[in-house]
Amino acid sequence: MGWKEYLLRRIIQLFFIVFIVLILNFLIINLAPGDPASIMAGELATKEYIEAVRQKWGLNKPIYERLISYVSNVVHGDFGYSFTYSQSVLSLIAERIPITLMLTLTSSILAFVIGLLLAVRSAQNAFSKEDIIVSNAMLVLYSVPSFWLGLVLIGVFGVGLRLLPTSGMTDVRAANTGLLLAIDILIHSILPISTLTAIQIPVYYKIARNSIVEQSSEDYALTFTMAGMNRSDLFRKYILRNSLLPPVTVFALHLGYILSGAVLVEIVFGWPGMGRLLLGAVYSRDYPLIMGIYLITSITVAFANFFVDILYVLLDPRVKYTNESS
Amino acid sequence: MKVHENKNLLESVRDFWNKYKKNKGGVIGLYSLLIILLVAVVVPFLPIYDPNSIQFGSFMPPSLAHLFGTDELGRDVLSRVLWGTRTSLSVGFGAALVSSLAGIILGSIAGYFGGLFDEVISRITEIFLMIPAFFLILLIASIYGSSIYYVILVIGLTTWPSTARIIRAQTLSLKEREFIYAQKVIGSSASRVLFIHLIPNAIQPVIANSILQVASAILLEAGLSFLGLGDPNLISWGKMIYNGSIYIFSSWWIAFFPGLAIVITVASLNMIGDALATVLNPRLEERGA
Repeated sequence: MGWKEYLLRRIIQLFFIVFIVLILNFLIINLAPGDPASIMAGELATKEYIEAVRQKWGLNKPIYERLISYVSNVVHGDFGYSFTYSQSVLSLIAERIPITLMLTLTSSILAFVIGLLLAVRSAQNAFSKEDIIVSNAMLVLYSVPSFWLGLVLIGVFGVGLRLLPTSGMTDVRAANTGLLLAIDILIHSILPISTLTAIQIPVYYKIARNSIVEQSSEDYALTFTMAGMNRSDLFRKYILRNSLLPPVTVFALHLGYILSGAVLVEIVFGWPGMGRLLLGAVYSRDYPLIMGIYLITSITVAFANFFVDILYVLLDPRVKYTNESS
Repeated sequence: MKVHENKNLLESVRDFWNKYKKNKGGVIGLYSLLIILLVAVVVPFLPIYDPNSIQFGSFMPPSLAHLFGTDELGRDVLSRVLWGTRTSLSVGFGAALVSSLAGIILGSIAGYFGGLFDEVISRITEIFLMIPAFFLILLIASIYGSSIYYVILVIGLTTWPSTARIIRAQTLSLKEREFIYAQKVIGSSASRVLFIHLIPNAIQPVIANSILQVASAILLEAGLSFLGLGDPNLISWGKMIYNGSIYIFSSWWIAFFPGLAIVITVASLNMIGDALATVLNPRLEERGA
């Protein structure tokens, strides 16, 4: 399969994902018991508003016409309107995405580095006592609910030691600006970022450790060892490089998991990103907003996977080799 | 270990256990899960307080009378944690069962029949792997209501792709083997070959994956309940943590103990799943050296 063919295939897949996400959403609305218009409007909406929604989204028409009007509205960037916030869903979410990404990206990078370092240590002494202890500790950490870990950190560092702020993104009373504001945000983000980093470390650790262990038992590694190559040279030049790609793909595949973890952690820390928005939407049954968050996270994850796959092909020497020869 | 190898079943179980028990984490996880299962079964007969009784003082810290303290309504946290095992395990095992069944059926059809079946099912599997299950489940639970049966069904029906992938690969390699070919030659129907001969032999690697899915379903349910989307009629650890999070500054025990219960339960399952995966995947097993 050539490079262009692969790219085309992935682009078609991307379209399909977006399409299926939309269809699922459409089915959820239209198969629900009760009036789809009242779902599209949200539970707190007035009668007049529900009627307006019915007209706009064609909800009094047969189902295939509904589907067409639904897809065309969404494709034109109309994800619906939140009655509780009196604002379009897209702009509501767009405002909060950077605030959420600040947590998710920072913590993912930290977790990647820490997870990889631990994995290298573990894999170099594979099946030693240390490796087994660290591996099991990582399994336990992988079992910790993000929101609970956040609460435990609040209990220890916020309530017990009184070291760090536990809620919000800034100190509202201080009204800082400029550099002081940046420092303030940084201090407020320490606990949420630590929580999110901790829950992601096991994900990277596990995949990197297994990948290094598998690479070490590949034929080329055995051949080089028997030919007398220095162990650390072999590790640095060949094994580590070949083992690095799986953890990179994991980032994209786990983005959904990371975002859902981030949303729950934000709620615990009162971080003003998508999590708070979602919690409010769940409590006031603001369905358009919940749907918007589902649509936008799904589409983001699909695009992230797309870009990482493309990057993967560009980075992996083995894939490049087959392309040149074909 | 394979059924068609005609090995004594008891012998193969013993072989398997001998390999499994070398994995200390797996053994600890297994014993701990057995205890948790036992608690879930016998909890009505345990000498503990009524989990819904509000006759005690509110916000009582852990003491000999109330080992885990009492919550904002004066309910005994320990009894509620013990009763919560039922909700978590039901959702975990129920959802994993639904998702394994769906995955096995779709994966084996894709692998066995190939062609268009394979193309369509594989593409759908890839797509479902990428849709963030948590947000989809959340949307469905908020619109359709959150009875435990819905939660089980929805988690199960959104997490099947990993099983489908594994079983498809297994089916692909098994269908060329002689014992399957022999069945075709003697004229067995496709469904007979699939369900009687192929799936039972392909199922081994799925078991480890299914155990891990029980673990992740329990975490998903906890997250849903934390957002107020769990079954309102049941005692759920996630919901207890949410209630406790409001009082974290004064009464840490309300949120702490149910969370600890989640960690112990999910960690046991993850250790079992990991041990099974290691035993079943020789590449990750320890080499002689």
